[in-house]
Amino acid sequence: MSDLLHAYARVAGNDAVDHLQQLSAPLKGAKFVHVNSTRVGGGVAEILMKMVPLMNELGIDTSWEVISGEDKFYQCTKSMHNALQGDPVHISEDLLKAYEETNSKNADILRPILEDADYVIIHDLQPAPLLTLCPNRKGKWVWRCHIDASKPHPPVWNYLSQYVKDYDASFFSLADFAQQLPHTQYLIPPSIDPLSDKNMDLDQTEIESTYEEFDLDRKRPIMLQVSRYDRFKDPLGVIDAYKLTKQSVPEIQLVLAGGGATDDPEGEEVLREVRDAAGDDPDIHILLLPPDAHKTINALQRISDIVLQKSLKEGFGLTVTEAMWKGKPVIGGNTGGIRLQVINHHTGFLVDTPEGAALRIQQLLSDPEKLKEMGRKAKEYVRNNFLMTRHLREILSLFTILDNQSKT
Amino acid sequence: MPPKNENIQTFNIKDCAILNMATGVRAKNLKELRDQLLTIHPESILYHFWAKKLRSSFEEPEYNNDFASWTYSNLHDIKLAERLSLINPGMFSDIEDLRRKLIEVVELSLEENKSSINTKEGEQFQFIRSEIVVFDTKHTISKPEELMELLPNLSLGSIYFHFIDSKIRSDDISSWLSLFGDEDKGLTQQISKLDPYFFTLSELRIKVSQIFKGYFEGVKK
Repeated sequence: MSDLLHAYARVAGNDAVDHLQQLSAPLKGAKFVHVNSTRVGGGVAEILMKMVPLMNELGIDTSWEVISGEDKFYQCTKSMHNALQGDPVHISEDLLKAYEETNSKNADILRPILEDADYVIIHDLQPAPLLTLCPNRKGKWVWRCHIDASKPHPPVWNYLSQYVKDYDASFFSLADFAQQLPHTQYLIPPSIDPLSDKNMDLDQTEIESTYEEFDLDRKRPIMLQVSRYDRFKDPLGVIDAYKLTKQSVPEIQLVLAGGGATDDPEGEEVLREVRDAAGDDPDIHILLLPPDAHKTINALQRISDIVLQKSLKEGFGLTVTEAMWKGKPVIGGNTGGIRLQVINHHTGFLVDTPEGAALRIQQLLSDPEKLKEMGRKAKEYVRNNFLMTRHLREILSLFTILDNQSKT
Repeated sequence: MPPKNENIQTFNIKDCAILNMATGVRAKNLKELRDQLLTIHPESILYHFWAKKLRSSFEEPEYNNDFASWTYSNLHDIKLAERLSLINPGMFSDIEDLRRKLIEVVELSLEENKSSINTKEGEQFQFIRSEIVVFDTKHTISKPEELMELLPNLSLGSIYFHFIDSKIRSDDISSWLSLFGDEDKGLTQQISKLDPYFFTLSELRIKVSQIFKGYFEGVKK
């Protein structure tokens, strides 16, 4: 067993790695391609950054391709993203044309790789049309929907489903997100990589330096939300919860730590709104971090007392998993994939309002024993359910099942 | 203990995991649950009785199947949750009889309570199916005593595979044990009769270990 596999076995157990080896043995040498629309920023890129090397380590010839486009393409895909999450947005013909042309241009570049691949996973809606643009494909193609598509805006879903319906299968994080499609829809939640800079153990000095770097007072409690500046992440709701908490816990500090993804054009506008709402409160720390600030986020999660993810819609919420892995209870919006992770009153609390979040923050700060016990449970819950080894096992199982179906 | 039958083969201990699939079938209230139960794929019914055991949980399961848990958590109907939880799938040799029993219990509740609560968005009952993925543990045993030694450390996936999934389909362990003739008949009967429905997988592992240990200690005396 290689050093990398040994490292996974130490965290996830020998059985977890042995299962991956058993599943990958028949796929050795096969060409496997992942395609998404950004190499940095956002959960999909973070997953692929670690999953692709692990797959190669297991002997599967795996590559990661990224499509790119101009502003209009990203405007279109951001609108589609919002529409899949329920916003009744109208997308103009002009933007849809940019979407189709961008995919067509990318297909011209990627076609040789994709048509030659044995297995392809297309991540999210941006590259979804690639399947129809690769008519001589020989492999199994699966569409992965990472977002909360439980109530998509019908005109947009109808448009997208013409591209999605011909895949061999698709997979979603939760059953609530599944759609009417003519193929099997698997349920595979995402995961974190315990060995990544974002989640690995850190030296105490590295953790301690974070207080100084961001002018945080180590003697006072810290609440943290890590997320892109996106309305669905409800950063303004977090500020409201902080202000409510401040009334009874005046020493509380809030850190909002986010960055941008290259495929998210709305981020700057939301960041302005967040800065306006924070005003000149010196205890609100709004951080705009570069995409590679993984260790910084890791340290921020470790120095925080409570982590929030007060999203209004959330496909999964990897920041929830990350915080739980560091033994922190999470106060999360009662929505989407957060419900899968925050087991109410066990690994954290589910809330529907800023008032609910403020209540639970105060409850946990007043009961350190409970806070510690919930954090312990949260970490074990992640170990059992949301590590990369489980995630990859399920993806390899999916393709094994598709292969077996072809043989019978 | 030597086998009575010279042709007895070794027994391979397996591990397993399940891969869930959405059926796209949902119910937001009791009436819809009844309607969907009429036609849902039988594998989905089995899933909602058994797969719960493979999911990690923080508390003792108050109710033993997903139908009962959903009724309790989302419809707040304790009476129905208790009635549904009492339905033991092991008592039904035909899955269609199990389906009929479920529908009967739900319909009784519908008759008693004319009003039907609608669940909130995200709290609907989602009918799920699963595929089982089987792994080789590389543990191969040639006699029942060896299984006794391994049992306390077997993974919960192995326990699920051999004492729940296989039991529903082929009962591979009992079949293998029965090849050892009369001397192990008591053991075969005890394992065969063991009803896993009311146990968590950890409890089931302890229970099976106790049966093996008790049997072989008795044999030595």
